[in-house]
Amino acid sequence: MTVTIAHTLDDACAALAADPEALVLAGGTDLMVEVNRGDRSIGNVVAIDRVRELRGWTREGDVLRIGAGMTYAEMADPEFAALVPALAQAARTIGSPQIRATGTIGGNVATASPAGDMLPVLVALDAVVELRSSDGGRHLPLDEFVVGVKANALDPGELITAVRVPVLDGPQEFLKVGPRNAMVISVASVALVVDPSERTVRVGLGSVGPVPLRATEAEVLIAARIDWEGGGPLAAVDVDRFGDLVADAARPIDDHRGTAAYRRHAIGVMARRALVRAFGAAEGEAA
Amino acid sequence: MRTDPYVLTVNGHLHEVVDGWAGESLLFVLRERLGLPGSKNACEEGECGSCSVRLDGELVCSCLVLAAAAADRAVTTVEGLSATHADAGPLADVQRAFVDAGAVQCGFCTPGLLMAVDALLAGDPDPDELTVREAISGNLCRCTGYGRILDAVDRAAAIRREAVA
Repeated sequence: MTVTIAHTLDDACAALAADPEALVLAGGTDLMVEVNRGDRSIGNVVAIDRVRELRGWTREGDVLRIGAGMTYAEMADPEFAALVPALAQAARTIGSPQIRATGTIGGNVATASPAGDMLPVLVALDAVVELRSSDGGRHLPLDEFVVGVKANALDPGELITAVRVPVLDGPQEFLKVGPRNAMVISVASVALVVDPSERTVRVGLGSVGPVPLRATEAEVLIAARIDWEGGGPLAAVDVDRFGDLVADAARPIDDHRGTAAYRRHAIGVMARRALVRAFGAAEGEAA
Repeated sequence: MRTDPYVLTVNGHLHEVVDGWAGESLLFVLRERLGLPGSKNACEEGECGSCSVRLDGELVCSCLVLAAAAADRAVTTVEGLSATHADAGPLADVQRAFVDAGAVQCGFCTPGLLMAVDALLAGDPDPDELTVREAISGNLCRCTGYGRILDAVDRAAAIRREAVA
């Protein structure tokens, strides 16, 4: 068994071309759990945590290119957090300092867990995943990359190099529920991003379906009710209706972390809360 | 399946690992191959923090680090703490503070907590309580209720600030 410690993207792609079945190891916070449990047989490994091209982020106009190797801890950088606040908020809720020091956005996307906290934010942002192999590169929208519970569209020999998201100038919120303030695997999570130039509100849902979901009906309803020009307050009935439509969009299941009924209730509450945080307190009687 | 040989740098010493098996964590190699049992093994899934070490200065769970992938990086374990604070005597400042505060009961979480607190104070010499609670949020203690651990962090911070002053 060979562990290739790649220092460049070409090194990593060459090692994967030589053994397309090799495991790609980034922060290890998901993969090593499976290895330790004996759930994952391990052959050759390509460690990519020292690949310089995968680290950090760059802004190209209105697009933020986030290197797959960017850790959750690095997302606390205020300059980064100002460009994509919901992602930074989500990163701060993940695991512990130990996990945030090594876990990466690329790993979260590749693992494609229904509870991956990057995913509801990325689906709300219509993120695009950049993939690379020794044969070349391709781009996939996040919702085509995550194809099922812990299932992704990576081909053998391919790895994630970056995630692209738009830089928007509206408010963004991320909320999740779980039993503690730390070390929580989301029972349910909501990301809400506002694009004032397009006059859209986009809502991503986590842990309430096999893949991250969008709440399209809720998005359309609330976009039509927001006073985009005057900035007037939302009506309480609309906020309530928004929460109900978000809850309707969820496809939760019962499992050891929570029931479907609780998840559906919680996601509606969090969606209303996110909306009020973004647009201010609502006025009028609730429905 | 065996791994190719690799070299780990632990507490400033080089160790060649020649007979490793596939998938061995850094925690396993430290404890079972290098004779450094200070890092504890409890959950093996990054949940408890009892295996915390520094890897190139970053606090990490050694159970989630593939040992062979840590080659040529600087690993500091709890055994290396007192060596890095030689002025404090046989115990490092954080260790002295945990003893003085009575922050140790069964002791299983203690090495991980010492590493977490040492890492915290390296970056923030005077952390407020919320910062401390967040910094040790990945280290579970099922004995103390954390009161004396929080006290120990304050004492360690005070010792360290005094040493710098």
